[in-house]
Amino acid sequence: MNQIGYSALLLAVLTSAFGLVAPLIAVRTKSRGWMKTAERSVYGLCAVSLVASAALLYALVTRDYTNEYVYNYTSNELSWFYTFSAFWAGNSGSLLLWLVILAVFTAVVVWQNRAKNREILPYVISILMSIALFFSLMMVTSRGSNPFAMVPAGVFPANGSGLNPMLENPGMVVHPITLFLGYVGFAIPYAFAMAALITRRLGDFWIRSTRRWTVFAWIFLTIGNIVGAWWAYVTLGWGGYWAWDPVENASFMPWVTGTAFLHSVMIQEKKDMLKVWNIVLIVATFSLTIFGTFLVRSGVVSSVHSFGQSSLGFFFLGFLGLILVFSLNLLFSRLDMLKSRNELDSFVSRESSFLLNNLLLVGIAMTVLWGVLFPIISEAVTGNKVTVGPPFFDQVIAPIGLVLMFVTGICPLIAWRRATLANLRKNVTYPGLVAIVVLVALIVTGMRHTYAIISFTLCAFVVTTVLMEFARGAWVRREMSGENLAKALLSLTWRNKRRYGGYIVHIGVILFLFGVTGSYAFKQQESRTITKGESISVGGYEVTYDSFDSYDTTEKRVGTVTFTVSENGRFLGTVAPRKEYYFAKDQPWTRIDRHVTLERDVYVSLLDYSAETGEANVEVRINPLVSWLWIGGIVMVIGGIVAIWPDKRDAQRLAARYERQVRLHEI
Amino acid sequence: MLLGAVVVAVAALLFIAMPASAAPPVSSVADELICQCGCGSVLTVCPHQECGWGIPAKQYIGQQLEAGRSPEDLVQYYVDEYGEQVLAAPTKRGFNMVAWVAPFAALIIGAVAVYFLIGVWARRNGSDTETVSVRETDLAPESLQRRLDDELREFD
Repeated sequence: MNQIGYSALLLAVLTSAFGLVAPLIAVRTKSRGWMKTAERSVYGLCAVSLVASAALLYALVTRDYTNEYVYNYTSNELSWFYTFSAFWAGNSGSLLLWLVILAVFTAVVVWQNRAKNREILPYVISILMSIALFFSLMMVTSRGSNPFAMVPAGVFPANGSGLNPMLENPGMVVHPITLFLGYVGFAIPYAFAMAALITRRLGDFWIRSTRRWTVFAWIFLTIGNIVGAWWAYVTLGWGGYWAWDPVENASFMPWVTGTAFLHSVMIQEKKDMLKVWNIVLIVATFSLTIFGTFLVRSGVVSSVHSFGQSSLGFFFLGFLGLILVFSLNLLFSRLDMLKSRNELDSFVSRESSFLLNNLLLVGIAMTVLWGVLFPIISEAVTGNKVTVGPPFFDQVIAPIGLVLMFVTGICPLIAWRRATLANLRKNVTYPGLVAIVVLVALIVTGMRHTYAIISFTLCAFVVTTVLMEFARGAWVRREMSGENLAKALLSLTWRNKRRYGGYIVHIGVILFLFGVTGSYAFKQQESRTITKGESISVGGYEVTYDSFDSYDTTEKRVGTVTFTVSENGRFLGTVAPRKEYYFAKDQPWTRIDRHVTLERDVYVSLLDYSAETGEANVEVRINPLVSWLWIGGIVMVIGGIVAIWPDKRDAQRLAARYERQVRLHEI
Repeated sequence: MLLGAVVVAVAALLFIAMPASAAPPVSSVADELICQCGCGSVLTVCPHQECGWGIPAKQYIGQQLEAGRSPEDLVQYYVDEYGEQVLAAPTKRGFNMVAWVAPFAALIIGAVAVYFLIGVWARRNGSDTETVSVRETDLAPESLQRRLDDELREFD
């Protein structure tokens, strides 16, 4: 089966190379036959990459330890659930995952565009197949990246070395695959943008054609980042969820620029403006996804997320350089054709607030990139090694984030084209009053953390403006249609999915930031060594040592202590953190446990224990409002799904617009 | 006036002194340092559960804080031992200031550029709008209705 898998990879190289060239021949010769062949090569790539994936899955499931990848990432004791996720546990498996997702997406794009965008589709296929060629070449030319590399001849291991214990978590089944769905998803609008530049068809049709792909990619990047944060929180044991690790930053940056792109394209659709800026944003977003893939494999930075150092990093850097040279060269050669009408009616307009939104989002992304690169720059300039870690990002990004929150709140209150200051003042009155009430209440009740006060006040402001948008629209609909308020609200949202889906996303973002504020500003912790019957008190909570247990499984030795959690003497529940020792990996691991409410998590880690004395070294953290991060993430995803849910009227509008633009030779 | 009063009240309340607290937590120092085991993570976040550098360091920090040593003192101790690279963020001195200043400088420049551009675009549209509005009064109501219909169709 390993031979079948490797042969499938070789076929993937050939198919993607053919798919890169065939569409260009089709264009040159104006041959429908060549175009059909090019499209078939896409389906062919999809088939062979699925075969390669099936071969790897088969090797994993049958515990074929003659396959080096299977040996390194599984063992006889590993559950089937985590055996499946071992597919992407290592470098070569994750490269195969990239390839198969890209192949499937490209096939979907070809099928979606079987009756439209025929002029730009050849170039879209060529660009996507060139990316597939890069990934498949990596796997067949580098032994360390070949998921079908064999162990030395004559060796037949009876067992594998097992999965890294930190990857034995449901989050690790979801996090990498959702991140890759997001990364690869952004390749689609990128390819369309480049194809639009090549063919000089520079209207907004490429944006409208790929809007759902962009939101789809954004949704999965959101899930990937949130689940990654959740995994770090429940697995790594340090009580936090985001450490501004370079690899975390690498998945955050394309999410931020992708968010800016989603907002900025609305301006192009409505005002035919910012054409150059939108191209720059999608190039930046896609480049940052490749940059993230580079960071994890280069060894340039140390990270808990890294696959470790390999020479692959330089190939990724080269590929990234090629993407930037190709894209920017193409953009500059078409600058004249990208001139927009560039008309804004007023400073006080929604368009202006979108520009400010973009400035802040791109500012955040560039700040993060600056922080990732500054150690290299500093060493080159001064010879001194410095580290840029959480204190830098927290101090620089927090104030920018607060301004962005304000803009998020004010934007829906400003009309498109032109709003008067009097009108704006009227719209701001109710949310402003709510914000002031919240502000005064926070201070009067004793809060003194400045950033937290500002953040909670802005949360109240933004949520009020969004809810007002829903209320106003639902009220008007109720008046017009006679529906009850609840039905009117649902109809309103369903008939304007893009707009109100976006507002739901905004609510999700605010809930998320509500959780971030609480957990950052008000966390408390205490750690001590205690024995049975003793307690640790933190922030009004008491964690009391109840009992100790120790047992072995085939995979590991487990020591666990059960604690009672109470608040001012009132019993809340029990938690049972564990300390595990994995035999195959010769590695210990701590599994935390939590008592969770909407108000706070009581987060307990068993740092160490003594089976002889029963003593336990315990760390207790109180993390306020942390649950709102996960709730906010879910709401963001729901909003995104609402925004891209198929809409018959939208599809009809798009088809009519395509027809009009073809008639007017605009595309 | 009301807004101004609120701002003054808020500022006054924020300056009320907080009560003295117990010994600072270990994280007040560990959050400022990079673990020297090679993981590249902040000391608080080091993923190595049996870290040979991080665990003794955190124990030492805890003991010193209990003994009354300040977090700033302890951070300086580690800088003296390991150099500035042990810090989790660049200092605010010399070339390192560039790290801190550059993002804000870039944002301010960007904001000024956006302000300037909006002004130019708004003025350009303002001069066109004057001409158009003179012409528009000559437009038949049907063409205005057509334009309204187009805009409503595009409305999202």
